[in-house]
Amino acid sequence: MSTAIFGAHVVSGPPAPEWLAKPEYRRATINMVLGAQLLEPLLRDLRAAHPEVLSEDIGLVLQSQTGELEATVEFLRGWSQMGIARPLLFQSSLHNATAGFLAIQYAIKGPVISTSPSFFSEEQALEMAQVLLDEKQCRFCLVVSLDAWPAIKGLEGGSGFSASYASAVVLAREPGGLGRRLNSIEMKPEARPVFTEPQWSHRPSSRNALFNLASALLSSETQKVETQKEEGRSVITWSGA
Amino acid sequence: MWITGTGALSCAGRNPGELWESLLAEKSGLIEGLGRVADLSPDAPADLALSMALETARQAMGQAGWSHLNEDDGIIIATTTGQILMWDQALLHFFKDQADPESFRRAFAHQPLGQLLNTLTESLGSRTPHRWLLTSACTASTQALIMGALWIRQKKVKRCLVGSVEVLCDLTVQGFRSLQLLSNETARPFDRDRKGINLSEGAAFVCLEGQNPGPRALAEVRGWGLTTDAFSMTSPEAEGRGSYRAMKQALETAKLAPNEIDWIHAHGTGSMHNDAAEGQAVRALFGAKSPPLTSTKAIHGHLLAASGLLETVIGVEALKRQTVLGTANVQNIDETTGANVLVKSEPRPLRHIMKNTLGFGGANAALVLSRVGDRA
Repeated sequence: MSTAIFGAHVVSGPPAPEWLAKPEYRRATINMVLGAQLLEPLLRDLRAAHPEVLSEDIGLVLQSQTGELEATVEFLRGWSQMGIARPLLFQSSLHNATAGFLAIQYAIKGPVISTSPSFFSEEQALEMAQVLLDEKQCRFCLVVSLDAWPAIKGLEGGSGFSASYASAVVLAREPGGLGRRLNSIEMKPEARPVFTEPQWSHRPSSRNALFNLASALLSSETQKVETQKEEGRSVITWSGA
Repeated sequence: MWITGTGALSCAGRNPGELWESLLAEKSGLIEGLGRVADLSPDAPADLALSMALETARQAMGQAGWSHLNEDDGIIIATTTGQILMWDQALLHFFKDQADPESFRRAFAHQPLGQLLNTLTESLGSRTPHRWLLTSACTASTQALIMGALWIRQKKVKRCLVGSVEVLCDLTVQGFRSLQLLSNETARPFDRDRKGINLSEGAAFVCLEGQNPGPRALAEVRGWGLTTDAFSMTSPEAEGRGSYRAMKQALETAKLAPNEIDWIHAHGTGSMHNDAAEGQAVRALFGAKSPPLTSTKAIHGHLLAASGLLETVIGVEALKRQTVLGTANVQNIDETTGANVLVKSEPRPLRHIMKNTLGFGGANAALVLSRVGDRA
């Protein structure tokens, strides 16, 4: 069954400075700010086009490889070096913290699922969203993929974030929006070696199917696009309406 | 959707049968407020999460008669800690300049939670590409069971192995302590003298099939609901509206009326906010004559992401044995929650039961499980 694509958005690199400076994000993690920067325009467009949409009609599937790595590392550092367990860092360290944060910020009351694909298949979030839509668990489903890797001194030097990115598409049960449809996600068994090293310096956008899909939707007029991920793990196709 | 195999490993028992006996005998596996799993097989992998998951998955698959996972089968795992014990100490050593970058890199490769899914799938000898890993805090494994059922309904997979595993670690123990939610005493869910929750580790697995498996069926997954509070990162919405909607959806998809539910297995962590919100949600949906409600967390503790699935396994046992369990360790029921708390275990005809779950991030999920042969 194909699914309509309502919208798409990408953030390549860290959050924009004006987003980081917002007072309401003072205690937010980088993942949370990236997610907010992604979803605000998408939800504004969605609610403008469908003013009848209820919070309960909107679902969210958020995938992140490493989750809230920044908060996790800082929590453990504080606990091990000073014996201080900071509650805010703990609640922000949970893998679904950004999903919960975005649900609160944007009143998302349908199913909210967080997932970690671990470099296996970045398409799993898209497939989950399709399943939720086909089963009428929501009318619209935001599919978000984001990660921010803090630079860890001694591994690569420097400070801040060695890599970060975020992308999102909005899938819908009904036609409209971008006028394109997500047709199929085909998962292929493949004997690719399991990921064995953290990929500190690589930018995942080049191999993240959701990022590629969102980027193509925003920039391409192509009626039918197919992408085969490197090493043939999975195939995703989408096309014009 | 049918459950054809179950597995459970916790401080209260090494399999569903042992767990059930502990529950009936009100024999808690908690020590000083924590539930640890001891005495794993000597040839088990050093990775505790993988070891517990493998043992429990094999219990479930053995009961279901599944020799392996095919390439058109799915596997869904739920966890919040994953393989953290494989890397957290390495991180601390690295901070203290006591580890070289290469050894740290190798340990830290286990940090993405999804890594556990890949390792487990391959340890089970499967190459299925249908792998999902959910991390939605304490609701994750109930979500996983629901998503497994929907995955099969959509014919994306033929069968689905649904599992969950959690380990005790500094991050969760000190984290929950920092939120002042932990109790060193055994939890007292729905008791007015509650002191807090008990964390524990363990695993639970079920085998899920879409076609009626005949006599192999243990229970039917008949209804489901998935909602979000959008209220607080760590507390449920005070009146339990999100939890109410999840349970209501579960009744609607099961095509059952509230008075057809014979027992509610509550999330019942023993935290004040959870008990109050969940009690109000149950009262709002089921009214003054709500079915008896039980929390079993005083026996096995709170397995975080794995709690929903472990308690689903308990529900399957209850349906099989036609017995409801009491809420161990409750002495003075907190009437303000409005819940019809069951204190003592007793035989009772059970056709349909509700499993309810709430989690950080405002995630709610509810299931209706039915006795085999009770589809109208």
